[in-house]
Amino acid sequence: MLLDLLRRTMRVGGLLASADRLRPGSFNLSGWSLQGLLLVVLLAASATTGPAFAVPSFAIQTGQPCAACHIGAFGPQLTPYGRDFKLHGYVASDGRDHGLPLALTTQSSFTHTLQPQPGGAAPGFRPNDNFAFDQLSLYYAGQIAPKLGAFIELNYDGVAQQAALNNVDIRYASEGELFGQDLLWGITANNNPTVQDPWNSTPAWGFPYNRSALAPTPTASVLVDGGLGQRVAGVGVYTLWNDLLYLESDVYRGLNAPTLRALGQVPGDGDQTAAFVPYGRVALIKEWGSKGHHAEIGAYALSANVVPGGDQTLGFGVRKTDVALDATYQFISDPSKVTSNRLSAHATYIHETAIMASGALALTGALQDHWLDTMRFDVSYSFAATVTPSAQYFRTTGTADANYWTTPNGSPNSDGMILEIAYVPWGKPDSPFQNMNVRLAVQYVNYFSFDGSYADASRNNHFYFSLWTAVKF
Amino acid sequence: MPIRLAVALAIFMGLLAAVPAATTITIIQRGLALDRASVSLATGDRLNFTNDDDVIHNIHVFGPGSEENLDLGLQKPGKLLTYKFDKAGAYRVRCNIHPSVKMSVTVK
Repeated sequence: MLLDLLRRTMRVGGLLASADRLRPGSFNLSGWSLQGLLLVVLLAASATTGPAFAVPSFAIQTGQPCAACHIGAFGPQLTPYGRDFKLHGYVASDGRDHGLPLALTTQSSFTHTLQPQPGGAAPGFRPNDNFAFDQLSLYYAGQIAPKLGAFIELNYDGVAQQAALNNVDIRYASEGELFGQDLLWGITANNNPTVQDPWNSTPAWGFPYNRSALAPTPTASVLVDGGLGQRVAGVGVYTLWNDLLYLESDVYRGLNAPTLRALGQVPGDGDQTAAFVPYGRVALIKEWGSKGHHAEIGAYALSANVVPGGDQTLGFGVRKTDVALDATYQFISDPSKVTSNRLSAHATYIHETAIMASGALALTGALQDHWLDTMRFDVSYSFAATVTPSAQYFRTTGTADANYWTTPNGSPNSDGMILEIAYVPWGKPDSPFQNMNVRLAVQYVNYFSFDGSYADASRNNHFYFSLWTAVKF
Repeated sequence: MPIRLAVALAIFMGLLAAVPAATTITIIQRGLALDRASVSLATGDRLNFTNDDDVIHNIHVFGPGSEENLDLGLQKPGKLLTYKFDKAGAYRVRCNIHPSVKMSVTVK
């Protein structure tokens, strides 16, 4: 039903001539003139609708500018208040009736890779220098009932030409006391392990906050790093005690192929699982200096039996277990001003062990046991919630096995840096255009190694120019 | 006549001195936090709440009974909100927009 809504909405907006165009491979949206027209239509539509911020309906519900919840005045990087709002179930409100919390965002981009990609960057795109209408997203984001709120995102992917149900986090939150201290507790129903997490040091909302769909990406990634996103459904319970200790426990169940297809996913494109997937999370929090300093250190883990996508193991199952550490630090130069300068740093280290089913060994010739480590560290400094430069170092290393990884030399190793500068003119208390917000960003991705190769790594380096718009209906 | 007036004035001043004056305490709201986590008051005392932030706040007083509450409404930056605590009991004060902006009030 939600997908139908997206299709109808896009037809009304002139984006699609027929519903058939949403079928993968049946419609190539490669002409920039058409994409530019779509962008103009969306910008024009946004100018005639209600006030808007990062996830605009959240901002409207609370009467707060984007910068109150987001570092750099645009999502998804959260401030302490943004985390608080999320943990309390997306229900905090200014008490006024703002109608249904529906919102819309668009992303458009230009990608230039150092070397052209033979055969095209994606079906319907040129080998290099591609404009793209990356995403159109519709959101239900806000309060449903007292203590019950939701973040539900529906996407149209302009590169894959596919509509899909994206991230979902529906939560109920309440408060009490334990051992004489405040206790916040809640229940979350979501479809992507870590999407419910309030810190940007975990994968779902980690840096970079958008990236090119038309540039090469390394082959190997750990399961918790998006491998189960939108391919599972789960429920969990979380608690925050004394603003000090955060605990969470979830259990997910893999969605079957018909369900995945109905939700806009391509079953064989990623890891599939029919099993229950337990997920746990712990974090310690500390604030000091009149709320100027915020620190978090934590851990998270999950374990699942999956069948890797892309026929990687000829359909045999692999038991993957991810154990991760993460940390966040934020410095707010003046907590009384949402436009004050803010430093933000995140780190995560994920260790994965993968054990193949014994029956697969003879057929694939692969080793039974593999490990894969991912490490990321990013830092950003937001000037007046307007200009935000960021840098990240990332590295993935693991067991080399030519019969397991699909890389040229059987190595999963990649590392590199991402440099980005983002400009957000609005989303502040005194912004002249309260009905919309935009984020302009330039991102440069530099690989030191890529899929086990140092010599050819730089050919995958790329510039990504993006325009992100947000508006509330 | 002047003597009677002086006596009446003296009696009036004595009564004023005998009845404790209501106290008003100012709670500073800054950096999405109140500067006190709790406060004890006498019946009839008042709390003033400032908004020293650059975003809108709200003050909602819950108590003293579980069903009693009063939403003082939205509070723009710089605006002062005042509440008089007329009944003894335990109160909670919070901002509906910023859940962590909260304090407890005990009135005797």
